[in-house]
Amino acid sequence: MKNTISFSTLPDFDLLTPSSLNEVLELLNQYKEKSRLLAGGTDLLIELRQRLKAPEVLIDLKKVSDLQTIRITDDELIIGAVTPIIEILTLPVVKEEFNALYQALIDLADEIIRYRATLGGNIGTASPAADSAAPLYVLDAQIEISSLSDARTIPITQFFTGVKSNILSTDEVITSIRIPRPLKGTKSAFMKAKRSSEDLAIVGVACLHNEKRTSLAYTAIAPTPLLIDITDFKLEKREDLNQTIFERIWEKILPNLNPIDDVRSSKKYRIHMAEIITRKILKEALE
Amino acid sequence: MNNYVGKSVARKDAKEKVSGLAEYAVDIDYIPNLLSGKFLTSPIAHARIVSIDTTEAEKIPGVVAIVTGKDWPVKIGLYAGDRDILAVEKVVWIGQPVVALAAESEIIAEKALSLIKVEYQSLEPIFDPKKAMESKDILVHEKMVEYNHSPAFNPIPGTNIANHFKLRKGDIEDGFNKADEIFENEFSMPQVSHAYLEPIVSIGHYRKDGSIEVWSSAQSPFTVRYLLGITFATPTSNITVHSPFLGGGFGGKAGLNFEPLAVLLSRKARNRPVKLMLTREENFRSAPIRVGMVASIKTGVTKQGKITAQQIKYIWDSGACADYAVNVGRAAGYVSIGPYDIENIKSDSYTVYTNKPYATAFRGFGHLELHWVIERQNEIITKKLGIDPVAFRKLNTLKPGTGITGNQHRLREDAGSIDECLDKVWIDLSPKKDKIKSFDPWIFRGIGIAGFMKGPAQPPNSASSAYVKFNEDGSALVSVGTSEMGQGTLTSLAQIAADELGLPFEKIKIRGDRDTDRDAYTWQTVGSRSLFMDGNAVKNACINAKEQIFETVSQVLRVPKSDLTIKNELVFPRGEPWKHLSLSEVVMGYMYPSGESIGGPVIGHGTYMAKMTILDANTGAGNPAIFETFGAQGVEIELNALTGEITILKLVSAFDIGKVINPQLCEGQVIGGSVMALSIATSEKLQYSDKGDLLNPSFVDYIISRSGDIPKEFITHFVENPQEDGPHGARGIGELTMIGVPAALGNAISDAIGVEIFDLPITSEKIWSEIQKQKPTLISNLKQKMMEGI
Ligand SMILES: Cc1cc2nc3c(=O)[nH]c(=O)nc-3n(C[C@H](O)[C@H](O)[C@H](O)COP(=O)(O)OP(=O)(O)OC[C@H]3O[C@@H](n4cnc5c(N)ncnc54)[C@H](O)[C@@H]3O)c2cc1C
Repeated sequence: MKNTISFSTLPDFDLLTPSSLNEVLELLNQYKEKSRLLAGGTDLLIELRQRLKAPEVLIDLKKVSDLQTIRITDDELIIGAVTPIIEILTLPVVKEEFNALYQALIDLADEIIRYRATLGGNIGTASPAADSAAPLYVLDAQIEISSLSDARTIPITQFFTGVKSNILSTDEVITSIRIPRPLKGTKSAFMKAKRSSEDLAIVGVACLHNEKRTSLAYTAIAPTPLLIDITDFKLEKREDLNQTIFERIWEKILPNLNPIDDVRSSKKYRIHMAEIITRKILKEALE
Repeated sequence: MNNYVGKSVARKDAKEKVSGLAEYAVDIDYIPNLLSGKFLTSPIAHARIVSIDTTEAEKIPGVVAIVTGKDWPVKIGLYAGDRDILAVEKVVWIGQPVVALAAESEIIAEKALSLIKVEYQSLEPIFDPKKAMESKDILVHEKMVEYNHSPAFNPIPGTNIANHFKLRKGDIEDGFNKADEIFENEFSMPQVSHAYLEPIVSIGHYRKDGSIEVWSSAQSPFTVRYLLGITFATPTSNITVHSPFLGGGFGGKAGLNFEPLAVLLSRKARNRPVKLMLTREENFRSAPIRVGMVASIKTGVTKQGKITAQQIKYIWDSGACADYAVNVGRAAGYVSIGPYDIENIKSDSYTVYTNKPYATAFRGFGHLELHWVIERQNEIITKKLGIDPVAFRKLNTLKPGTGITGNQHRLREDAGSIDECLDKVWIDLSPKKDKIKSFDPWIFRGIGIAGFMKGPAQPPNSASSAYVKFNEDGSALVSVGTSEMGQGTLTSLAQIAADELGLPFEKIKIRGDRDTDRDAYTWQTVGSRSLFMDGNAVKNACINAKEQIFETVSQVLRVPKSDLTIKNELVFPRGEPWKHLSLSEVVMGYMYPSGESIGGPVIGHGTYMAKMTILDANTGAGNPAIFETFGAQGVEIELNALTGEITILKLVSAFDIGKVINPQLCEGQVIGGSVMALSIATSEKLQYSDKGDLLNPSFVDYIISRSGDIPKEFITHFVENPQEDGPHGARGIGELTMIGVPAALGNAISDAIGVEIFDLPITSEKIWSEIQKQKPTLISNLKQKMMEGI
């Protein structure tokens, strides 16, 4: 039996602090699986202390200013992957047009963590409970990824591949998250069930509704976040949603949910809360 | 004449703490040749140790010493010596320290630990306290009978019962015969963590001459010193214990914890000092926690609401060691019926071993738990009988002159009044009841109240002392034994001293750190005893110092001592302030113009002894406490029946503390204590796997209240019926602030939706699942309503 030790130190590693994206890519190319990218460190440092990972080098992204810009164009919001959550929240357009994202980020961890934690890190960890995932799913976000030899843009829905795993190869970095500006009149929202006022989600739900589309996304209720389109139900106004319709919608959603029992919640309560929040969030979207 | 007592004087330690200058045990890294200590823990809940192989670890450069249980196989503990420093023959919980080492750095220590091989032979573990109580074949401590224990306790040989306390009064069957209704219920509470912010740190230095010096985040440094003396078979005078500021203790740092291990490591490390710093996970798994509880209660009541009989069985889940928890069972045993006067009582309180982390003292010392049982039961009774909850309680509460424990002991005339507390809380809760209807039909409002009492649980010979030492300029140092871990007691003690000595507050120094060589003795910093006990000692020390001052001044001024008084640093005959000497002229001895000098440096000393009795082993009769503080707490809540979520709108408290020495500090205690209790009531629970492994050893999954969970409004009343022998009439408050909260919350939930909760914690999920059980159609109806409402 391996000895269980509660470490107070971090394992040995070299900390590399590149100052440009190109240097990052070169280092990644050089060290590949022997390296880990370090953003805010609010996930990574815990994993290191617990010896879940033992990289030889940490490539610190915080000195790369190109990765920390937020831009809004006519078409999209582009958030540099290493932008601290707290900064994203200060941009008025985020609340005005991307409310689901705003609501998720203002409820992510606590204020102290939000100063360090980054959006790229939240996705990079690929936790099924990543708060930003649900809004990014309904908002059709695209993830920009670079390596020394290549660059690609993929929809967020293809990013997560399982519990704490993603499609990045060992020489790739997320450079930014691009979110198209929603149609006029779009409503989006996020809500999560939690055990205290500042907590990881028992379940997280995001909703987007406009004249073209109604979709829902879920976190913490399956190995990866889920996107479920319910445009077919033709919800246009509040009157279109009643108990019977909701039951049909829920029939469509329920088979996709596959939560676990753990110290945070039972499966049953997770599903119950997913249903109650879905009711609430849909109702509010139509009001 | 009080310049300071009764006022919200700023804390003595405020600047130090806010600026970061205050020193905690973790900051002590300036001791030369300091090594890092680290221990390996048991991965199995119950097993025999077959072998320990440390050869590979010894080879690592920088490893200075490795110790195992066999190096010092002495059992330690305060009331029952049942704990190994390191497991000797068998391990009894997951997290128990088995091997420890000292190394030049933490990294080396961790590396070496991973190379140690321990072979175990598994034994059947036992986790459920009810089963553990019955079990004869699975025993956590087969050798319990051989352990030393204080005569106040009654372990039952051949069982897992570490203590059985009995409270008896009247004839229980007779009591039930007189009742019109009988109520039987079961209640429970899980083990919880103290969740103090500062994890335990202990530094041990075993010197070549056999003297021992310890720096530790210890709540009770004198007890640590005393028990270290027993552990290492050396006179107490050979031992010095320093305890700096503590980052919270809540009872979790009250006994002897990791100090012997640090000393043992130092001894083996050729007398180099060794620092043990627990990680949060280690603190959860290896350091002591709070007892869990299972209780069954049977109450007989008349139609009018008079309780005729109370029969209770408490089982306290103390985990693998009960050195301190036996006293929790005892203290909760003699108060087991709560603040009520009942003719017929049969109560049994059992402290039981299980293969889980071990329990120690915890703010409230069994009283938060027992009042959860009593005050929930009372709510269920009043509802059934249709009596007003406060009227029902007041019909049964203890009044001056009525009995506390069993037959003999009567409540003193100046004990304070629970009835006044109940009334004050109820007035703030009840008028608004039902007036505010929520917009959403799934939101329910409710109010709940609970009454309670608690006194310090300490041995009858528990003592406090203090000294006051004057300086040349007339300023003074006050020394006490009580530790500072957030309460603010030291500030209140300085207020008492300033008024007694006629000194400005700034001229009183009272240090925040404790040093057993330097400071006056106190038994322990526990049980809300310090203001009362150490406060009396400080007052007596000041009186003694004044006596010395007056002796000198009466000679100089040629007036009788009894005429003298001190005010604004001047000593003069009452009514003749112009005829004064200044303190600075006297406190180092007075010199006449001729140069002839009298008196001498003034050091006043004072003591205070608890006045209590040993309780009768068969009935529990006797005087168990120097005071009982009475109180009541109530909450007003909003409950979302669809999600089970509750919002605390208002928390109302009233305590009869005799005299408020410092209003702001008292209020701080109330807010801190009631939020801590709400946290325990709504979310805290140590969760174990079926193998006994703790599943939530971090604050990510062991949920404590965050700032957003704090109630919107606090209303606090202090009732001041003074107790003659308290300092300025005061009684303790620290623990009291928690006690009524869980039951008040349970009662408010019952009031809001008629669902009864019997087990803590009341998480949202718990409420949801109880609604489903007790009101099967409610949620589906509300879901329907939710979709209708526009
Ligand atoms: C107390 C506490 C509470 C928390 N509560 C929440 C919560 O409520 N909700 C929630 O969602 N999360 C929560 N978290 C988790 C964490 O804070 C977030 O996931 C955060 O967004 C991670 O960002 P970071 O910058 O700190 O990531 P890091 O820890 O630096 O990195 C996380 C992972 O992503 C990788 N990575 C980082 N940046 C990139 C990049 N640009 N390209 C590719 N890979 C990258 C890293 O290599 C690493 O594997 C909590 C954490 C703590 C400690």
